[in-house]
Amino acid sequence: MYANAALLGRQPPARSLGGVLSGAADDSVVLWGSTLERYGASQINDRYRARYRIGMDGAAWAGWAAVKIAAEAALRTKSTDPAKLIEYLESSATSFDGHKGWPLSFRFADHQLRQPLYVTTRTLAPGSQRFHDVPELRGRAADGRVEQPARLNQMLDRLIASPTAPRCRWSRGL
Amino acid sequence: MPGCAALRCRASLLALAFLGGSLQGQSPAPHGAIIAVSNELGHTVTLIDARTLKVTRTIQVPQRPRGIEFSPDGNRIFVALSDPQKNVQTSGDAIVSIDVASGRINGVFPAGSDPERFAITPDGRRLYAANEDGSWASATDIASRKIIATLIVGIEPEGVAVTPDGRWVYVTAETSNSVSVIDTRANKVVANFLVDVRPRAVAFSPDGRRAYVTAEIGGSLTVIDTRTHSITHTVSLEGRQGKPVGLAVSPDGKWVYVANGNANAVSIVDAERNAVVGRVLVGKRPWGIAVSPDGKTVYTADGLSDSMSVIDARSRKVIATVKAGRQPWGVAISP
Repeated sequence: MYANAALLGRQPPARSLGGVLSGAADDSVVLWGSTLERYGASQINDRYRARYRIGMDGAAWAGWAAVKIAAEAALRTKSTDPAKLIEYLESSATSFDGHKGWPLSFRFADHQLRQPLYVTTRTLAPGSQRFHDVPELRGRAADGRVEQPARLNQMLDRLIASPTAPRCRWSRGL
Repeated sequence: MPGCAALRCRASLLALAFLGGSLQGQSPAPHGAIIAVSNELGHTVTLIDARTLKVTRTIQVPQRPRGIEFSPDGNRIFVALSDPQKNVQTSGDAIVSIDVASGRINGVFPAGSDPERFAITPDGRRLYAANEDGSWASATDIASRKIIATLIVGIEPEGVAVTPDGRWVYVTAETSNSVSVIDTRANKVVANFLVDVRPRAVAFSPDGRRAYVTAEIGGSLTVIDTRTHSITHTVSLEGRQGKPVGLAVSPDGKWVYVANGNANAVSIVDAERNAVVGRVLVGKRPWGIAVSPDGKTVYTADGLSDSMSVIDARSRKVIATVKAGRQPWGVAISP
């Protein structure tokens, strides 16, 4: 996950995402932004700013989320045994909250974290980027029913899959 | 509490109260006669006659109102107010009481910083409030208007409920996925346990034996045995994508109504079978939900429709939509 944060820190243009998003050339895709507000984002942003006196960026979010996920896995399994933690993290029934309004989960095949990303436009004044929430691309049936998670995860898998993305592997020696 | 100049705060809130709404007399309500909706963007509380479904009064409040509850005697409406300043307690952070008869703010109660949801003990003596930007809950003595305990709970506390016998208070915490159990005799946290992901609201069954917690990201309803403070069931709602927030239990304990903010729908859960048995489409982003004392009607605060939906519990259909203020958050009905 942290490798992804570094990759995203280099801000590849939005159109590198297989044409799914057709933003302007100076749009960038980020893990997190310090001006996000929805889904409890303002609470974590405020807590981070109060403590460190700077805004939370993508790398900071990833560091926080990694510790939160590790701690939660240990609490939920009541264990620090790597085998038990791996089983829990890999399970399709496991999800985490990263204040992104969407359940985060690990793709079994390559252990990438399925998560919303944000497309930010830098044409505005500094500090006032407008964030677009990628999962808002989802369809919604006429009766208001929302899509099933399996289909949404497939959609997210398409969004984050990239031939250049580093392959993460759990280290069983930890 | 630091920063809360109680006297100044009370004076400014009372002064503002006189600017709001018409002040014609309105007699205290018979059971289930008045519905109150907090409008977080409009900074108002809308009072609705439950029989005619007409708005009888719009009360201006000085800050952003969210949690809303009637006093057990039905004479007052308590509303949690938050100022826009995060992590700082100012005079704007408080729970106020509104006199139902006059529509005036008649009390200001310190409740820590950024109070969101709260519960009133059945004897009407205490308030327990979740302080969202801290990691604590505050217990306030209503008569003396003083905080009598500040209790460390989970991270980003949100939902608060008190058992019908007043013995226990449950406080949910969104970030730590936890529920803290407060013993109200000792005013101490006596247990903490994990529930599904991002818990929001909590409510007890009328007999106090079960507690129900919504999990916004988990997309479920967690059922808890209150004798052991442990989970017995997790009920999936709306394919786990509905973002459930508010919930209410029918007075006979048979049904649990859950407002799914992202699905614009209410799930009806059979409390005996712990299974979803019905679904009612309401307005956009329903969060607050309340059941009438006779169990016949369910009301939702539809945040992005600026309205309240009225559901007939028997036919499970919306029978009316009432215009409320800007961005309704919570709804309560006189006991």
